[in-house]
Amino acid sequence: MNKKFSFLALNHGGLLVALLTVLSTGLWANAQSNPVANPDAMVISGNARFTVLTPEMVRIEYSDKAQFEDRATFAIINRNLDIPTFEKSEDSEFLYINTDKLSLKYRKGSDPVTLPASARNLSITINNNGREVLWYPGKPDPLNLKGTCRTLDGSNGDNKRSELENGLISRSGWSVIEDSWTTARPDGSRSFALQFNEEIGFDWWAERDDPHALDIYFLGYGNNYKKALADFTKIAGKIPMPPAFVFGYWYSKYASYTSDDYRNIMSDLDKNDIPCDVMILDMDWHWNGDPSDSNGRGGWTGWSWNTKLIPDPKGLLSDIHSKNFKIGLNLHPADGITKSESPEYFAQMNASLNGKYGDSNNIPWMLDNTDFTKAFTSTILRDHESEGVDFWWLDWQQHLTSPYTNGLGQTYWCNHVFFNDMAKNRPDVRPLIFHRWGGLGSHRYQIGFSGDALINFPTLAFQPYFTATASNVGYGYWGHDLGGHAWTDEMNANNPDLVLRWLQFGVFTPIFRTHATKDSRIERQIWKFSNFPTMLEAVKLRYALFPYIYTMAREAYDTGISICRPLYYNYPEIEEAYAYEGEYMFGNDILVAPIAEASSNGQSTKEIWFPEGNWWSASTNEFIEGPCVKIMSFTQEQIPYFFKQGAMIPFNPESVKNVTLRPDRLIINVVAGSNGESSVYEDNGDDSDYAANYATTKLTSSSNANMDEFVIAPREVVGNVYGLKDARSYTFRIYNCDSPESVIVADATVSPEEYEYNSKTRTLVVNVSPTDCRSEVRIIVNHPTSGIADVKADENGYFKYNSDTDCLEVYFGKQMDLVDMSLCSLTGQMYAKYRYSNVNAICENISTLPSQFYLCRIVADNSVMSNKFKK
Amino acid sequence: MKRVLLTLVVMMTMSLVKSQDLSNSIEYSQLFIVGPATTVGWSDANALEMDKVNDGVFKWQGKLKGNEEFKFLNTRSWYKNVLSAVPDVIVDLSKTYNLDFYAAWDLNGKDWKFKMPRTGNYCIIVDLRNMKMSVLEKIEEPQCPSKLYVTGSAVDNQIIELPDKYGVEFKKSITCTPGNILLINTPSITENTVFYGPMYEDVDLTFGKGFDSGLVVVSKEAR
Repeated sequence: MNKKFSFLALNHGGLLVALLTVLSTGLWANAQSNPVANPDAMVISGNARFTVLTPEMVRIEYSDKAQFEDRATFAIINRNLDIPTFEKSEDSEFLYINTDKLSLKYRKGSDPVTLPASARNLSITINNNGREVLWYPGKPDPLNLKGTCRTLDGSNGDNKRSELENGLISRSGWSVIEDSWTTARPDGSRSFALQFNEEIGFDWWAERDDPHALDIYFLGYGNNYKKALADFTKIAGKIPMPPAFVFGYWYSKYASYTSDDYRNIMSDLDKNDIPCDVMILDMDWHWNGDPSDSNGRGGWTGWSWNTKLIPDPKGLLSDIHSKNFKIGLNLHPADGITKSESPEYFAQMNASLNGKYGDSNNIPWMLDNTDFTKAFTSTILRDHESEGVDFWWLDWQQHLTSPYTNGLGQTYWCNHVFFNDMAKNRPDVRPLIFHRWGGLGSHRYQIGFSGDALINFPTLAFQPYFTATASNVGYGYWGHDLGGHAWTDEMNANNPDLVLRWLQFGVFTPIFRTHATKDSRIERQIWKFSNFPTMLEAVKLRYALFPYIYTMAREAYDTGISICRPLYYNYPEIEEAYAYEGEYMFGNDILVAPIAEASSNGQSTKEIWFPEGNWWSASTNEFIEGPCVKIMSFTQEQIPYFFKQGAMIPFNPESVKNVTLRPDRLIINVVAGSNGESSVYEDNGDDSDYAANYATTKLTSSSNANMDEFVIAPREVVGNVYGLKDARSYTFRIYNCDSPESVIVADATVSPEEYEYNSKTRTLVVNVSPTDCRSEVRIIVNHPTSGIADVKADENGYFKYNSDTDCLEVYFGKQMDLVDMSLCSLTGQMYAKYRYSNVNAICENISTLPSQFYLCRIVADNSVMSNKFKK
Repeated sequence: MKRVLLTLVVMMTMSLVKSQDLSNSIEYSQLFIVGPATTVGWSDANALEMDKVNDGVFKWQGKLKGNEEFKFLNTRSWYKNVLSAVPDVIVDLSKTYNLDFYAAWDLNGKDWKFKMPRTGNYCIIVDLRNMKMSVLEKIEEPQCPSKLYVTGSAVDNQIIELPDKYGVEFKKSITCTPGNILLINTPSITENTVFYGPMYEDVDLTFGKGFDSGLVVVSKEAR
């Protein structure tokens, strides 16, 4: 945590105003942030100030007192960006600011906000995909693509849809960050200033200098959604990486578990070969409930171990750690520290605070105040952390704003304080909280728990949309109660089909945690379900996916694009990308369409839209050429997830039982037939300095009609990463692959006995023996290039280029269900691709192609033929 | 080419009994006006509900007595107050005023109200998102016509009747091209045709997303 002093000179209204500003860089993951913009990016006109942050983004301030905010706020922490090119001009009436992307017009001397809202005093025009769009303060936007909401407590079907806050992107082409103190967030809270506090050691809330000032950010990114989100994290801070263990399986269930129960659960997990990384102790770890049942120590909030259930907390936490679990404890802090529940902590805090707060029985929850916060964290949090607690699950459910500080949001402020307290006081680990969305800026305090959703299929069906849409405000780490939290129909409580589909969806969400409320009729020990073997496959798939997920987490940190992404990020001009809202991209290369309906006779059908490009259905072994809409059937064992052609997707081998383990083998999944680029990211897993200490291994694939080539580049290490494997073996699973003519690994041809080809699934598996990670691994799969190879066509079949008609003529001699034909030059450059179904002959006019030699490759119902011809 | 379902819904006003909310948060769903400048005096239970015209934006039209006080309540109780940010305001129709929100029974001397300089019919607009208020001369509300038609460049300036469903809404599916939509009250444009538009200029409602807005009478030139 560094404190920086900055001297800033502004020419304001003919006066040189010197500001000595205390700048904080105390926001851990965003150490380079500076809330003071470069003066050259600012245009001041009377009581208005405009700061051009990017060609598409302008900050607009208006203060009757000309008091502009140069401190960080709850939403925005950095305004010191590279100055974009812009032009300023003015006439007697208006000020004009033009960038490459927007034109701003301001009536000099006026308040930009008019009632009713109009473009009279301030307007901005942008070009949104060919259409000129006008914006003015207060303009409604029915096309906003939404963000997220505080919680899914009470979620039933899609009843929470209307609670989603506006996001940072819109089909209107513009959006607004409303950062004025006057503008309440949906929970009624306000965006205060943040200012470094010596006593507490990180940024603390502060009143705005002019609480009535207008402070908004106009974002006119059109449908360049990814740039909007990337630029948002430039001003609002990066999305921090959670520690690696977070991406494993979490065992969690609200129940009055005893120490023996926890030990039995760990034993059962082990006996059933269920990998698991996190053990959650819900609120019954502390005294609560009816005081008569808990030695007079009841209530809702609690801080002291319930020694009736857990007589030796340290011993239990030590046992849990010895089984390689991390430990999170649930907190409902709203009632403060009560003498009857926690007499020791109450006494210690009272002594520390000199009895400043509360009465003889209770110290109210006053996280607004630094002295309370200091006493609380040093007395209670540090004590439990020394016992072995790894992180805190905050569960704020009470009044949403502080009773002591007008507009201070409890959710946001708990996020900020707990996260930064951990960053400051536990520098040996990566800061982490498990809490809720508290408004814009909460993406800096990961991760989220979505709360108490009801147990039914319609509620499950809402969660894919909800999870991906949260990425529109950078809140990319929602963790749901997989299986649902509470039932309204007991038939659903342990419905194996429902819990399975929820779990399978959970594999492709940021956080993989089963949970449910305290109800003995709800079972969440998956090994007790009749379809446990299928559930276990889902858990194993999650562990297989870890290298890919962790790589995407780093990408979220670097780019602002979260792991679960709406399809319209990649296909903003395609209507289906908005309409098929139950589908999303899980990282760069996996399309997911979770099943959220009950199966019928063990089968579920789903209509799935596939965007442009080709896809491999991993669970059904199908090659799918997009764009298309397909109605597909899935057994309960099958999950609708699809690898993008060309991508190389790293998986762990099945031996990995903790995501923090580094295996000596990686599985590389690749869909042959296209070019692509991916990577494997590694770091120290649970340090706070991952920005400067990490390793990346680049993966590339390329393809032409003759061959597919896959390259694992030498690993590049930045800084210090400990425990990296020196050498790794690899298993390449190459899908959509024809029977190879030869396979070359490290310049040597591999004998056919050393690879395995499954013609039914069209999958080639090649194992690569351990290779130094500092060296390149290159695999070439050669395809037959001359004559007819692997042809089972009728003897009457023929191939001919007819120069008279400029047509390719192919006759198969029998009906073919599916035929793919490609034409490329002898150097491998692809010129044309065709697809036919239910044909016994083809006549394709190629008059538009240039004259040269071509290789024609035909795949007809898994038979392959290649021919060379001159046009 | 997008299919846009254009719906005009005539809302039935109902008196709802709202439960008292003692949270500390401002609410954008409702706002009330109260004070001796209005007909209800200082009766929180009878405070007059304002019309919500957008999220956090409210309008109220009616008679205000000159030199009498009024203020706003976020619920029908004295707990959530929306007040003038400065004391002793005599409202000037050309100005916009800052507001403050307090969730408290005791306002510590900041229970600041507004007064109109003279009795009259006024239109009050409050924007809780920006905490601003202005008062205008009363705006004539458009009367809902018996027949309603769509026209504008989005329908190639055709005039298409919207059938009246159940006496409360006019509804029809129409194929639109990019352009403007206006509502009119006659099957052809004449001297007497009234043009209706949304309260907000240039709102995009493509892609099948609905948008609720009060209607205002617009000039022929504005179309």
